[in-house]
Amino acid sequence: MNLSEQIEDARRGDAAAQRQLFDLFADPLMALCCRYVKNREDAEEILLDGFCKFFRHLNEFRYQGDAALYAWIKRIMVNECLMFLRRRPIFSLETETVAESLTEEPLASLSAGEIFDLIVRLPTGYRTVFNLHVIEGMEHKEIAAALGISEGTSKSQLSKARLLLQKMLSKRGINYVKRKTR
Amino acid sequence: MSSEKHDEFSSWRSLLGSRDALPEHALDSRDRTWEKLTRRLQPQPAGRRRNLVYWMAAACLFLVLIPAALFVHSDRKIPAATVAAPGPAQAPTVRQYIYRAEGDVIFRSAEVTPRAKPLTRRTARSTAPPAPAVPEAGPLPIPEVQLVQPPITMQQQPPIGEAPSRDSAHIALTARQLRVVHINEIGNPNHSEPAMTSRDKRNGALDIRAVILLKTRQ
Repeated sequence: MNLSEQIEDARRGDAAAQRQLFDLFADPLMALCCRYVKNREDAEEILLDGFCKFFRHLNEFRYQGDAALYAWIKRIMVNECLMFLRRRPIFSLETETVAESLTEEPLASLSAGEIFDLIVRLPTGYRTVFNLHVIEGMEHKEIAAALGISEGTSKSQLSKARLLLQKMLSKRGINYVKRKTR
Repeated sequence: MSSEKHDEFSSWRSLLGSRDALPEHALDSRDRTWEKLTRRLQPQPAGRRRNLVYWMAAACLFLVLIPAALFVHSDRKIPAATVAAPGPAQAPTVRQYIYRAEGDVIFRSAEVTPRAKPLTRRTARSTAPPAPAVPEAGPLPIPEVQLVQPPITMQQQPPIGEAPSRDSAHIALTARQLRVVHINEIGNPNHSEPAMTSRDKRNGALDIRAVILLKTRQ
């Protein structure tokens, strides 16, 4: 049974089809939630809320391929994470130093687990903006709209995240960042 | 510009973006999580929820309306006189009757202001609780002022200085229609002497006496 048939069955309320879709996406989406929210229990709650929305709005989805389905459900989960994070103040507005450029080579040598650990150690505001901008590929304007902040705040949070990442990586002996202070 | 900047992290994006990137951060127990999800996906009884909402709305309405109704009701109960600000004290006038026993009973009405506290007769011996205040009566009817002839009324006059007796007060308060009769109509009940002599009739000196019949106790 391919994914489109599973989606059709899940739309009709078939529990087996829904379970198959859940098994397919639960683990990567749990990792995504953990990337935004440190606490695993919170991440699991967000995951459950996201799957509820996914199954309830499945009728609105037009199947255009597996990647599109995954992108759609991933977007649902990211929105759930943002809704969770918006309930608490997560941003600090101070920034002085800005990282101008990064060299890619040392970063490419890091594994997914190492990158994940680095990202999770960032403060919540930095981590959220970094995830949205760097991993999800959102523009600052979109991030500002999604989080209810200004574009400048989003940019400053990203700069702080980079700075902190530089520090964390330099502790590991990876010096790859040219810093410029303004 | 931003796309240029996060291109530096393109390797991170591709690493973390794949579905099987982080197997160590997968769910602890899929079955348990699935059970939770199925419980959440079960349709909740909408009717019960709607009823609950209606009941809550009704309760709120009740809580708002009942105190308002009580307030309005209590407002209507208060008479306007008590609500109005007290103006200058205007004491009601009470007619006072003065008895004079100088041969005649004269009723004089005068308007006096009553005392603030009703007088109650209390003696040193009396241990009974004070009598309740006499409710204020309306203005008494003004009796007719009568001049009563001395020979008759003197017998019923109280001595000077004493309070008028109950009988005299009764006389005063009950205005009697007095009837004037001729002496011949009365006659002498003992037939000892005539009521009027022929000589008197001739002289034209009629002995007419005004007799006032008092029908006090008849």
